[in-house]
Amino acid sequence: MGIPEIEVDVVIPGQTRYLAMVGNIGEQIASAIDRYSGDRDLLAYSLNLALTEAVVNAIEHADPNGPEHKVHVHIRLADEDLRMTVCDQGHGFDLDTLPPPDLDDMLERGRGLFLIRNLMDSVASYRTPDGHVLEMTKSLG
Amino acid sequence: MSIVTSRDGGVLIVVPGQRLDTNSAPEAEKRIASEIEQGETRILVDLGLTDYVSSAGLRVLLKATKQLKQVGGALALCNINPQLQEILDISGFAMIMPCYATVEEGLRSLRA
Repeated sequence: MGIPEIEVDVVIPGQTRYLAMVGNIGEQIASAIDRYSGDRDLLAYSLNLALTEAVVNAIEHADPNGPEHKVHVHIRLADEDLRMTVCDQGHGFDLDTLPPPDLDDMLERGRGLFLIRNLMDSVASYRTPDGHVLEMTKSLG
Repeated sequence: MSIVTSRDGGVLIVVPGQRLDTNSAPEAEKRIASEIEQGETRILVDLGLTDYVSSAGLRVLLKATKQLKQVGGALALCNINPQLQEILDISGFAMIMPCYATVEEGLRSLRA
């Protein structure tokens, strides 16, 4: 595994007022990446949107009876692979049990994950002792 | 967030602020729903000032699209920044909500 070109680790309160800040981190990473030949503005928008949607999901799935809710965002770029994880202590969800996206019926649930799946190369969801993790990866090569 | 509305012929033009996201979507939803309740059937959402639209913002637009269809009306988007347009295209939302380059094109389509 190569030395990470960029690594960002941030913990925020589980409140929507911090969403723009998290999204801005995604945009800043897009502008800081070396040797990217794609559309940098589109990458910035995509990282902003994917991170924001993942944090919104974490906030929505928070345990209302749990301790003060925090969301841990970790972003790591190494070997042209960008890996972003969003971890929280909430209930989480199983990606495999989510219904397939139906564009005509997306008023209530699923738009955020639908967007993330369209913007990133792979999306995974799993539990660790620290909580529920949504992992998003994108190849920038 | 401030939403500005104006009228051109029989079309209501809605101009959201810089961000249409989790925090600003409730106000936008309330405002557009109110306009529809008062009889608006053709709405053009001008995104010329809007840098960022999240899934919560998309929900507002999708809901309005559905409500307008039920009354025989329509919603269209215009002045979309290239990054958002790309994401609407990739995700398929552009197939549900017609997108136009300019206000004039959007108005022409909604009046047709």
